[in-house]
Amino acid sequence: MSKIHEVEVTIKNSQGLHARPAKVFVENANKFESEIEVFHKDAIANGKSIMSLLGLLAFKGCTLKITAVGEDAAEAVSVLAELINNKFNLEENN
Amino acid sequence: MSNFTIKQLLENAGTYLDLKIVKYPEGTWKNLSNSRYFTAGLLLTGIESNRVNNGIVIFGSTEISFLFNLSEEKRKEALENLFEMEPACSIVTKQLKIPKCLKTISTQTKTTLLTTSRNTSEFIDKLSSILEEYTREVTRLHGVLLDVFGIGVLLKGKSGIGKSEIALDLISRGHSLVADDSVEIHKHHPDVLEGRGTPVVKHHMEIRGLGIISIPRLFGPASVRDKKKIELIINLEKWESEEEYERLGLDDHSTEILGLSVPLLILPVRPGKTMATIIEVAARDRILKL
Repeated sequence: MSKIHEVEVTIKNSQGLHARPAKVFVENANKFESEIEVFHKDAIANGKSIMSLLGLLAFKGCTLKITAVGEDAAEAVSVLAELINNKFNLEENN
Repeated sequence: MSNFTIKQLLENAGTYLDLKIVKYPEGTWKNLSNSRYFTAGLLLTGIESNRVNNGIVIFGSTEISFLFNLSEEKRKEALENLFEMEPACSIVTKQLKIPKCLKTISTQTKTTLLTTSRNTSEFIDKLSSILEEYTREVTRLHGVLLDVFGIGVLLKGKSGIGKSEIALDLISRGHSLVADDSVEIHKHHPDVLEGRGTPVVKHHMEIRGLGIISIPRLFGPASVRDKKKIELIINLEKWESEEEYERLGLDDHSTEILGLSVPLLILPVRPGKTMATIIEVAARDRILKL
């Protein structure tokens, strides 16, 4: 078994992890072979599924833990953490 | 759940069980990590059990009249023996008169003392269902849970294999959706696994090319269910020509969830194969084997 890579990040964009950010997240997660999971409080989501991520109810200021297992796990967690830190690369209207 | 306390029991089920506080230790609420309950019974005669620790001890009319029939000294001794086993709380049923020394010893040992108006058998019945609910094991799996001909079928497989599309096909054939993507699985005693969806995104599906759709709005209220017993797991795999798939159907395969064994089928997915039909047949076959 490969090692589990994990990282904790806080959501910075005002809308939180709603539909559009979730889509961007999943698109990026799907570039990796690793199994990716996202944790928020007691909830766990599949990092490659929009519906699952929406179910986390993660708003601005919430801390998420991203874990990845697989060959490209280290890269996956750093890319996804970077994405959250960059407010999902989405332009904010307000 | 390991951190289920008496406080939570009171808050969540206090009215249902009609519990009232007689004595409670200030500041601390003991953890009901044990999640067992005992009638005081023979424990009052000096029988010892290490399983009482952090459990609930129930005093019914037999125990209370037994205590009143003892001399004051013997009564104190009997209760001291019992409380040495460190129960998390004791409950007197039917609002029986509580012996003074039971109150004293509860204060001394910092053990919660509760009373209820319900009679013992009724109370035990309700309490055990509540304890089961709060302490049962829960896990979460990725997959789609459907009700196919009354059989709870959990579709698993890597993302992109087409779980949701196959599920949609089954829904349009009149079967119902329980949960898409993330299935919460509760273990009910002794051997039932029940699957549910995540409350927020319940009964919505993401279909590539279409976006997020609401199943009950498109297919009607009968197309969804809130929970379903899981009776069959189907693992969808990419067709590999070297891999040997089941040809005779004589060997039963299974997988474990929360320590319980569930029948497992491995189905290879190939373009042009109507997976929905195969899954319907798998469910029919499961009914035959029940």
